[in-house]
Amino acid sequence: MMLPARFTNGLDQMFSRLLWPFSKSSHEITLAATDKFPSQPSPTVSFQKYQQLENELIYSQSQLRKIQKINNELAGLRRRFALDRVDFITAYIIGSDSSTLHQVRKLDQGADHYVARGQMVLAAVGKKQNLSSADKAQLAVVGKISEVGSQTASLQLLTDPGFILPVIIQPRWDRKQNWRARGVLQSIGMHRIVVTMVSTKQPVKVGDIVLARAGKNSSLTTDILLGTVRYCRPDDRNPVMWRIQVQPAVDLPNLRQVVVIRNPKE
Amino acid sequence: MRWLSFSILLFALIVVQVSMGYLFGIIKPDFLLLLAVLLAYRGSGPKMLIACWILGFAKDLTSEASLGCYAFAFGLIALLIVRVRELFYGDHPLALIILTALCSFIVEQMILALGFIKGDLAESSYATITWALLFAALFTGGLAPYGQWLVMKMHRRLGLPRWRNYSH
Repeated sequence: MMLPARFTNGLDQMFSRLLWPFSKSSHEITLAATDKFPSQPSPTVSFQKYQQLENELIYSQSQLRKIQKINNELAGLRRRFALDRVDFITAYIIGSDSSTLHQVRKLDQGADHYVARGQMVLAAVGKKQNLSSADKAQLAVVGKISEVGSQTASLQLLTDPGFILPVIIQPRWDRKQNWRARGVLQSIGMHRIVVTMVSTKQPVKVGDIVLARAGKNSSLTTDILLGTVRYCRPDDRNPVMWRIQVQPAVDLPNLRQVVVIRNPKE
Repeated sequence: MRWLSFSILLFALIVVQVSMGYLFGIIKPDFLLLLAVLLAYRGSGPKMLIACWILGFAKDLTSEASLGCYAFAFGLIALLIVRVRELFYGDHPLALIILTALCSFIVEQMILALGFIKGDLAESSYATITWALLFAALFTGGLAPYGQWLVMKMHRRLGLPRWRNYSH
């Protein structure tokens, strides 16, 4: 304990040299017994071997990119097949309701183009409003047809105070959970839309997906994206239910072009 | 009131209201109500009341509201303005702004109340909708001086008196 460090270090090295052959052989015996004995690493790699490994790496990366592309395409396949069974009627917005109270837009397609009351209306997700370049999997619900004339129709937006729609809330893909909660979407004015009638037992969080529910009385053949959860808190009047505010997936104030879904069975 | 000029002005206002209204977003001005307030403020006689009713009826036809709601509300507002206009002396823009904003808010509140009675709207949405209507009313009121300038430029074509009329 009182000896200088140089003496103790020397003793330590001496003991380690004496014990090294025994410890090395016991380590090799253990690896051989567990089939984990590594191959002897070569100090240098030949140029041919290096080229071969580099080619394999490049090939693997290209394969990975290809598989990722296929995976992305398959991600929207289910919806795309469902939407292939319906007809799309492209329409432009030509005006709005003259009332301050209602959020209703006039479309340039009417009954002459098979637009009917109650049909759901979709638009391209995000700021991009060009439907020609948008994939079917990138469409989201913006409202439904409320009135129909021969040449024009009225589109009742999600933000109209009288708008009501059955919806489903499901967790965001990165939460890795599997549940779906049914609710009712309605507008409360000032471009705010809320989902009610969802039990607080459901673990709803900000960012979860809100889908318009397909049903017998709807022109939707599959559940389609409507928006995401902006915030959720227990309802003041009914604390066992959530009051969920929804962020629409489509930029509604700048809506210019939409598609009306027409189910051929109708 | 000269009905041909009034009809042309009405048609132009409907086109502007319907085709450009949505560009303003949630808070959009009500050009038809603005004209109704100005006519009631400056005009006289039953023809002016009929013109206001027609403006309301035009709004009924171009909106989702039940037919006749706005026509009735505009008619009532015109009667109200005729009764209270003698309280405002002169042509001060502030008086016109306040009167227009107040009338716009009252009309929309009447339509909102009707929506609640009919069950078209959820009661929980009253507060937020009222805020939107209040801002829209202020926006409409803010445009009143410009509307008055336009109406005064056209007063001969519309058959309105050059100066304000204080009698009922």
